[in-house]
Amino acid sequence: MSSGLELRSVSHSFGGTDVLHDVSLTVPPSGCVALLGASGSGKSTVLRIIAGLDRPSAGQVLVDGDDMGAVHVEQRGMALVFQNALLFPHLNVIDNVAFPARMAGQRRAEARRHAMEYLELVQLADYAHRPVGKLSGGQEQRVALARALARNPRILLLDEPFASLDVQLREDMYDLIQNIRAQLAPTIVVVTHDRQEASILADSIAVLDEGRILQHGTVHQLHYEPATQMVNRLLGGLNAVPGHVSGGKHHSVLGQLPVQDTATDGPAFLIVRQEALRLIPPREAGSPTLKGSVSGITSLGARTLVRVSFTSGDPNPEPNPLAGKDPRVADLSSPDLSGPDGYGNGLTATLTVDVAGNPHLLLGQVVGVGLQEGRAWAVQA
Amino acid sequence: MTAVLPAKRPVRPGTRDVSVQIRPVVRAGLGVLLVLWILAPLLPVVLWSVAGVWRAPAVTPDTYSVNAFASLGERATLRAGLASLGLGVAVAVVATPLGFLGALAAQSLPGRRGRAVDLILLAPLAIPPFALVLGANTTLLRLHVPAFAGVVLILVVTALPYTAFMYRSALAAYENQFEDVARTLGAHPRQVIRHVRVPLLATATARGFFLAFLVGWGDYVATLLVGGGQLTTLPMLLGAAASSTGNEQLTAVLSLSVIIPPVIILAAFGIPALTRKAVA
Repeated sequence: MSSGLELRSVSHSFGGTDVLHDVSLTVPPSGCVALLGASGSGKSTVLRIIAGLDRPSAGQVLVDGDDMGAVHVEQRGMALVFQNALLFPHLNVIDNVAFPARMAGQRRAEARRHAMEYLELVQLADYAHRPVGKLSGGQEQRVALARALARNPRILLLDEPFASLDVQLREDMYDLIQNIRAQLAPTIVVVTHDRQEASILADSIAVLDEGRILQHGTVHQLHYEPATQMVNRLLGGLNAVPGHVSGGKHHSVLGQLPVQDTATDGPAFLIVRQEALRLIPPREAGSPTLKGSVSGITSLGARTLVRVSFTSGDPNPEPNPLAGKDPRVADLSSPDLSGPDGYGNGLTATLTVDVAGNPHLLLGQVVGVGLQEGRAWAVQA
Repeated sequence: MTAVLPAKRPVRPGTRDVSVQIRPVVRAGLGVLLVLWILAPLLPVVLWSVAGVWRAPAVTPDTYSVNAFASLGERATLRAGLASLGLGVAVAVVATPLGFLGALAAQSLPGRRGRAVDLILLAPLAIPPFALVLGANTTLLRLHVPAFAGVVLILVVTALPYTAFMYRSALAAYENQFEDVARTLGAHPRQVIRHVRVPLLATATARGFFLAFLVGWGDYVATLLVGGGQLTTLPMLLGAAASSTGNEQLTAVLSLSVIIPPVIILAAFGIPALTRKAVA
């Protein structure tokens, strides 16, 4: 049975220091929300408050509409998996998984039968009678997950459970979580500092910074329509060009670019995901391009980040054939430098482009940059 | 300036570095020396216990006899053994939970207050037992504290640093999140103590209990001065035997009766633990 979870204006302080400010969050039944933030952003504190391990200074935690304020940890029907598996070293694998049933008063044999079902779910039935000290890191986390699921939790709380695992094991665990969601459909709140993990696991992501939720939205929204420059940065966005918005367009060193209708006039950063940009061969016709010179190349293995610098005084000789026809596409060929910030000659901006493979470029080489889907987003500066 | 690095000694391909080969040998040699250092003082005691006649300058006894071991079956010796056992258990039973509470306080209190508790807990180690007993025995007499209870009271103070130190180390390594996990898994606070805290601190408890037991089991000074002759333990019998001449064989047998039971307990608990570790 899964339940809906709601946090209403939750605040928390430790010894006079405010660590959470007015946090509100809704998780639908069987939904999975990731709390994403840097270390010290307060995300683990949110989880501890949901579990009942810490009491909030203000606000409410509601499960299916019921206030959990007076409900003890053990009665909340939740289970928490920490970064360390924290398997009880005095119990073997099956007795660790049988622990919730034993605490609920079941006989050992019955509790073990129940535990075996969950060990089969995490594919560790063969390890049932092993001491926990003889498990690998990945196996420990699987057992910890099985133990939490054996509690039949209304809400499953995961506090960076895969942070200490290597990449391959982490991917296996993601598959396992997807499998568990498909089979048991628990409501899940997962805390992570890994944006990729958040994107893979969760239906929606709540970005936390300095105890405040900056934005809660779908994975797509967070990446392409961030609420602030901080959200963009936490989600790995590398491009934020200063400028100003007026008349639904962002004006900067790069020129004019149509942005979202909701953007308010005034100083703003232009946010363009590095994955939404592409390098355009010099002689490719018909593409809206901005010419700049390569100022940095960073290999990521299968992909390469290319930094391209633009100067406001550079001529952009190629006319943009799409400018004025498709409102989503930038008129990159005719920078409007007449905004209140006065972007004159000599100012520079840098865009980072995520390119597949090795682009075989040289530093200083002139390249064209185009928008793949015309996606640009302005956030207040 | 160019730093000159010492040249690394070349190792011929296909051969192992000699220092790597020597290291286990040195380690084993040091281990044997350490064991001999601990066991060597016991050798004369063992030889005296089975010596019929042993005159100087003979290195080993002239004749052998086990007659002195018959004294271990005597009523007075058995009663003294029971008194030692009772004293050891009583000291351990009181000092172990007190040590836990003390260590918990030292860990929970922040900064200087925690360090102050640590200092208080370890202070008895700095006080010679003789000085402690002489200061306390008249007060205990005036308060009409029974001999056994008075000795236990004094020895608990002596044992407290050992039990507190055991728990202090265990609590430093203790992960509080085990209890958090247990509670989210449905365990109420009493179940957490019974099923998580007690088992996880069992090793420290056993070690602390054993050390406190040894304080009571082997005590002579406090039993003599506070017990005032009303409490006869094995060390008291041993002291009496050792204070007169010609009792070397009896003294040695009584010494062994004080030494061997704790060693058996240690072996009974220690060897299986070592075997488990080796298997793991």
